[in-house]
Amino acid sequence: MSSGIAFHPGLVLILGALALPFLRGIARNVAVMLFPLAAMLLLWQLPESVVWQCQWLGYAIQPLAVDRLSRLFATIFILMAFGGGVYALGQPSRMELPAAFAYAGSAIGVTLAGDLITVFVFWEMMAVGSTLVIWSAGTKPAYAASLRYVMIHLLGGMILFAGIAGHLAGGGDAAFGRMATDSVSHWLILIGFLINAGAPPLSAWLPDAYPEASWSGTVFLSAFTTKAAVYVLLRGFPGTEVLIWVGLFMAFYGIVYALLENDVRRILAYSIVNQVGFMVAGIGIGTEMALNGAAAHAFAHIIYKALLLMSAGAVLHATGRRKCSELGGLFHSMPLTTICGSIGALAISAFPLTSGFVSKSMITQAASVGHMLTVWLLLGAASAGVFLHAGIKFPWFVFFQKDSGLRPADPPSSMRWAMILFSFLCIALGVWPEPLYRMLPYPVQYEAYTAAHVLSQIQLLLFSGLALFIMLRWLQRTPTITLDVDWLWRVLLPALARRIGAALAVLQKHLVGMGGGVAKSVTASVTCGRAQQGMLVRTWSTRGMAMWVMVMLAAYLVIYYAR
Amino acid sequence: MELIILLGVPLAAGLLLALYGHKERAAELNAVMSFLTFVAAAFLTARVIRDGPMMVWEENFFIDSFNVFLVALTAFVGFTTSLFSRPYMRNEHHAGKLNPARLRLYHSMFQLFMFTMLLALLTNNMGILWVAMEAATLTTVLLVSLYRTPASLEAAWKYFILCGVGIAQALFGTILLYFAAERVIGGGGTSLLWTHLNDVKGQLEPTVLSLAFVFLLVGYGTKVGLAPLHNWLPDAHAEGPTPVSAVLSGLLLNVALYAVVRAKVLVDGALQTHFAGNLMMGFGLFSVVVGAFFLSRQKDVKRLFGYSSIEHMGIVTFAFGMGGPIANFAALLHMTVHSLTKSAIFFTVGHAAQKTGTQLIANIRGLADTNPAIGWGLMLGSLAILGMPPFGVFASEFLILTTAMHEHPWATPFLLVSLGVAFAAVFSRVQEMVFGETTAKRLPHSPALIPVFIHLGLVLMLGLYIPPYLADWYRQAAALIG
Repeated sequence: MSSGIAFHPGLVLILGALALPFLRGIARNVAVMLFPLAAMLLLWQLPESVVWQCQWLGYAIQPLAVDRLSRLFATIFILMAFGGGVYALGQPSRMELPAAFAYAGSAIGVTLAGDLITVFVFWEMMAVGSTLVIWSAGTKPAYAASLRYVMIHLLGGMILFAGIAGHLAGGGDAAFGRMATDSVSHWLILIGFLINAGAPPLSAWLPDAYPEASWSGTVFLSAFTTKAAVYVLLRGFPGTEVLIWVGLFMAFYGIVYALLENDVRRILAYSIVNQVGFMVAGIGIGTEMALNGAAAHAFAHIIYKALLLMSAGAVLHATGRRKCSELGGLFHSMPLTTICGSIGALAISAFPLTSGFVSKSMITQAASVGHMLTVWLLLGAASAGVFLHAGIKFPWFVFFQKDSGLRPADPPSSMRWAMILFSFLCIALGVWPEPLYRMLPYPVQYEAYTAAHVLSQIQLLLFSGLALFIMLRWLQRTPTITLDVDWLWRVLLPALARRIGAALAVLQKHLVGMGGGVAKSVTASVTCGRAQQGMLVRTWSTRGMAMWVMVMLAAYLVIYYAR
Repeated sequence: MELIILLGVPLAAGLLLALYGHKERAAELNAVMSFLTFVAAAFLTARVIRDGPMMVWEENFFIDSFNVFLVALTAFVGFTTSLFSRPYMRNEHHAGKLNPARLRLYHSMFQLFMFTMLLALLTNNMGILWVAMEAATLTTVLLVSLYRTPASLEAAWKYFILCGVGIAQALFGTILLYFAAERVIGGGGTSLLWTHLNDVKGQLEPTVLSLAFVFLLVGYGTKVGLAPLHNWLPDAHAEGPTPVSAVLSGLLLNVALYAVVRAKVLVDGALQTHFAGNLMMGFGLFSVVVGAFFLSRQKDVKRLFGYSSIEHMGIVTFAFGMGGPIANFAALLHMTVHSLTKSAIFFTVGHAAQKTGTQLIANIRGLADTNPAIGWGLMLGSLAILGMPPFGVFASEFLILTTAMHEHPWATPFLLVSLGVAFAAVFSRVQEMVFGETTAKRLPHSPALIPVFIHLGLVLMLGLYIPPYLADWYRQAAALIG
């Protein structure tokens, strides 16, 4: 502990979460803003080194270790806790904000952990915190979804635990550094991380659970779990080639499902999978530029995805609807929400002068510098897809399109200010990326605004936009839900269980029919003589018996000692 | 001196409360007496930490770091349980479930139960150990059947019969032990003293000892709740009053396991093989698996946590079976945190069941709304018992799993899958109970929840930081067990 005040910024939020339920009114609102600010101050005071280290059950652990990468992620997590906290000030559920703060604090704990054991501890706390956030929506679908959510995370946690335990049992030390995929335990750790990143085939938890949280809960959920996973992948498995393909798969998977989807917030949830796919692919490429790009993209993505979900949340808050087919024409009465939502949509599509452009182009550029032509082409195609589903589909169907006749007002001031803050950040980072670039883990030799970059991006966007408006007829959504892999456990398993159960019942009936006569005579012969007051049926008083045995034992004791 | 108070207070209190009857201040008297016991245990512990192992009264009592830690734990949980039982039993009385005579029986038997457990822990004589275990069974039979409902009588009956069978096996095991010892030490009362047996364990006849250990393990294992001898445990936990469930789960199971481990030390010395350890690992692992899978089918909340106790005692038995300093350390830690957490859970569950008037999980709803302290206590307790970091159960399970992965990799998938199944089963049920709609009303006597949060606070502390003297103490005990 070198500097004056070296306290864990994540713990500030966790302790704050414990204090929040006891505060009311203005004191609570002030506290919601003050805790993240205090955490931010503490974070930037910490030196770039191992700050806390101790022994835990014979392992050397480092609960608080700071370097450039972890500071970058901790910064954006705290910023997110602040923005989300302001946005959720009007949330009537008394559990949600404390749960969200505990969740954010644990995510910060993951980023500031110097060893695998601390990572795991905060990892599990994150799972519990996020589950509480979903529960606080208090609806039946939310409970059901949260159980599916927690089961997947339990599985992921167990795989990760097995991996870490194997790593330690195999003689590895606890420190969390770069790992090669050379042993079973390292593979298990990688899989555990990827489950939280939302990698297929186990990504269904994300679009299943996130949209079921309350209008403010989803904003928190979108930020922490998947990005903490991106962080641990960045630290543990940079340059692992398989991640390129996993990431690309995630990017396209997210696009396809987002295009099929009707529910606004499920569209945005699939778009998280898609965006995390870009980051994972960047981590897989593994050059300094690609890793910088992945980190910067995570930073930018948290802001614009939160902004998009805030505007979707504002619509949900005002209308109670979240289906594309039931919304439209809201720009008449919700101008601010429309503007902020559109800024988010532009940022996610990586329009020049928004934050998405300065971060995503780094990953594509890294692919082209590394002469990975296929990867570069696929990333370009995926970018076009992002524009289709999130950049146009979301604002078009919600705010413009046909008029649904709804005329709700813009949301209350706390929600407005949060949206304005995040819109400002989206634009500010796009226009002036240097502060972000300076925080990145590696030195940046990259200029986002070259003529070539800007031109190619605008071409891409224009053509995909054109394509969209030609195909708009086929994109009109019908009111359905789309199941993906969760079809396996939401439809197939219950159906199988019913079939098997029915088959067994039939079998049982036949067996009973055959053996019934025999069984009856056997039971009759056995129970004969054991009627109501038969010798073996009468209830003997255990009390008397127990008392006597006890007396005998006491006598034995007395004899033994009085001898 | 401390020893006399430690054993004398609960014995005297048991008799006193039996004579005093259920008057105005019986519950307070019960708590004060338990507190005195706890203070005596604390002094005794301090002395053993300072001076090392000691013998009292012509070697009749032997106190070393292994049993003194259990004594301290037993006295502590006994004390907090008596605090909890004060409003709990008043509510039961208020609800007309118990009459003054039953309450008198309850208070008296509670103290005698504490006495028998402490005696079992402190005695140096394997024969007296058996007697004390049997007496502990009998007192709890009376406690389990306290409500006199058909279900509680059946549970007590089952408990009595199964544990009676078990204890008979243990008696046979003890006799075999004497048989082996007699050849080396000679006849007379001293040949069953554990310290004497320990001195000559290398010369004891291996065949007889292995036979004796089988009987002792099966016999005392019945009381530990090891599968397949566990049938009594969920019944007894579900039908007895909740303070009794708390001490059964938190203390009696530990004491029975203590007896098994004492026997294991002797047998390991005589056999010089891993025979005893293998047996314990087998039984332990089987209990973990059985406990976890039964958990997923439970409808009664106290049975649910009863099965969870089977699972956790299985983990501890498995760890003791693996042996070695780290696994023993982890097993002792797990015993401690399991006792504290499980009794805290039973405290909250008891009040929740009182509030809603039912033990059925399906009918307990919305605890977080009607009484946030109970609801969150149950939630946190369940998370702790399921091994969520940063609670202490995580620390001990972590150590056990890493050791198992190192030494017996084949066992880890079973452990991990069982832990996962248990998590899924318990967590989904607790979620329904804590959140959700409810119409329950307030209780006449406000619940005592301080013990719950003291226990959970201790468990949290043990997860993050084990005080050095406690760690030393565990280490000494772990080395002793070998």
